[in-house]
Amino acid sequence: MTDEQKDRLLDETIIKGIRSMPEAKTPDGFSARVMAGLEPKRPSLWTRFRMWLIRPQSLTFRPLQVIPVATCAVALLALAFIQTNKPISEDIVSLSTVRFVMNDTSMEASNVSVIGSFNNWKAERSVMWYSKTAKAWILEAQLPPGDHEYLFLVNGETLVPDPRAQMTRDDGFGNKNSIMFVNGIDEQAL
Amino acid sequence: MDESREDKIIREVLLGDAQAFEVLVRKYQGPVYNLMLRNVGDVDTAADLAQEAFTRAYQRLETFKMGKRFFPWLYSLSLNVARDWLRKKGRDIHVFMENASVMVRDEDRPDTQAALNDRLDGGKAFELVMQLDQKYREALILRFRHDFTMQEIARALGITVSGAKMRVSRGLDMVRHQFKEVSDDR
Amino acid sequence: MNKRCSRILFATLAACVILGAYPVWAGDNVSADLVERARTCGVFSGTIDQVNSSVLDGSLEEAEGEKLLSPLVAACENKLPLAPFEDKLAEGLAKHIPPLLIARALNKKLDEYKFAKGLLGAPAKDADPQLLIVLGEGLSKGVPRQDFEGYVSSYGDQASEPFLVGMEMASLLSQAGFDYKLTSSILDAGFAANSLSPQWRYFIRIVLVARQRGLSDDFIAEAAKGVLGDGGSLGDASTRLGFTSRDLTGRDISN
Repeated sequence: MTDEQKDRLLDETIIKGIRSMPEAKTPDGFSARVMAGLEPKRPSLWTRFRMWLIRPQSLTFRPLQVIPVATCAVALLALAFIQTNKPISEDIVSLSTVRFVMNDTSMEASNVSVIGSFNNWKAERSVMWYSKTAKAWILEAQLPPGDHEYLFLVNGETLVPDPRAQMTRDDGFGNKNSIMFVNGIDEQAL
Repeated sequence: MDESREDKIIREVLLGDAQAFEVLVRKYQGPVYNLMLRNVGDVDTAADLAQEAFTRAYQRLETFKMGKRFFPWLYSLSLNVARDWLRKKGRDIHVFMENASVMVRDEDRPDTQAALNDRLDGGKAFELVMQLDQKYREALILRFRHDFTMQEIARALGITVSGAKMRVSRGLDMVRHQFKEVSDDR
Repeated sequence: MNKRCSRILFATLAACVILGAYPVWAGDNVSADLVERARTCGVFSGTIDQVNSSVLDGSLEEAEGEKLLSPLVAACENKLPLAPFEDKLAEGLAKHIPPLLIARALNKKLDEYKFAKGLLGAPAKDADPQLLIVLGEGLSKGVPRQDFEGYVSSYGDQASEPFLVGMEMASLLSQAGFDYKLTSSILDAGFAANSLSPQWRYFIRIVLVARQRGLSDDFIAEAAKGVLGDGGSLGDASTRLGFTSRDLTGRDISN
């Protein structure tokens, strides 16, 4: 069996595992408990209008799917177009492996994360692990091309710039962010 | 339950019939509760957060776009409830999966059909999925358990469609990688 | 559908007139009107929810929440790319920066982007968001306005890809304190020989390493001009400056 075939077989297993994953039963009385906390709505004038506009058609017309009010109103009222813009990095599939390293000879820190522009500054996504041989906290991550700003978050409370950083930049709040340049496909060209 | 039926329910709720909302609660309490359970690990907090998610959905129902599927919208909102709680608690329950791959080196090992068959263990695969970073885990669950389209995954997670595709394929890569390594250690 | 559309239009217009007088209810929430504008326009719901929930749990005051959302709504309604604003807000919140400081940074960014849009001179729809972001972010990160004004006036008629690459180069070099006169002499060479391939956007990495080795900016610029004039690559530039690609990666933990 080729590697490719083995991989595909594994994928099937994984997908099957996900499809049939055990689901815990919701505690008894859950829905009643939710409902107990809800007050009936008192619809605003606008809501009443909106609901009136999209009410089901009578049977003399061809039954129509409920259409979002916005599709007509937007064009006519010239509301700003709906942007589905997301951080540009999400659109680019080519990722490069980069390594974040923070030296810590005697493992003084108890936990370290990388927070940065590429993970929305959220620590829980990039926890580093401590290497006894390197005496450092390490994280390998896949980043899209760009200039990425980041910092190390030590013990959940202290922000530390990277002394090895290629460049630093003011963060607009009076602190400095470290910068890592990822060149993408051309990484090796340098 | 098709979209138009859900839209009818939502319409009724918006016009003042709170009780109608219970249909939606009952329908989706399973997935929402399990989402919370995966993220917080204890049943009481999970139930609280699931309730919070439905309450929030009820409060924000005016912002729901009729005609779209309700479940992706609810799921996205529930994810935010989970994230808010995790952030507040500063809880890092799940290690970023990439770490493991740094320590592990791929080595060629001879592979017999028998050995491969021994590894075909869906339960194990599921456990590995559960260890993934939330970002990839949720994408895989949405795709393969709840059969969300890529657009729906994108909307639920607040990313682009290509971002969603990337998360699903990367998530599978990572589980597959871990699967091989774990099996090799047996 | 047409009948419905015109009915909707009429009713919506009528509703707008009536709603003009409709009271906005206050609560322990960010102003519903502001939130509605944010959602309608297309500000990322995760960001809106993040601000909202911070107000709800008390970590932000209502007024602070509004000061944070307003620049985003303004950016959105001005058809500016939103990701840089959303990211900056997320960064500020993650770092527990005082909300008024975050708001100040966001409003400054708004000003820079408006200037950038004006500089590019295109009507809203045509302004390439990538260009706008390079300009807007560059200005936010300290590139002097006159550097970009000089760039656009000198190279505005170049093809769009090298124009973008050159602008990114100029932005990063300026942020690193590289004199714009030197930058433009490098760009002149690059445009003249049509050799500004995409990899050159990270010429800054070479500059940083070269400076560490004591090479002067003038010397670096001369080398770059020479290589670009010959149609060479970034790798050729590093060779000419006398170092290997290993020096550049800076990713090894080779202690």
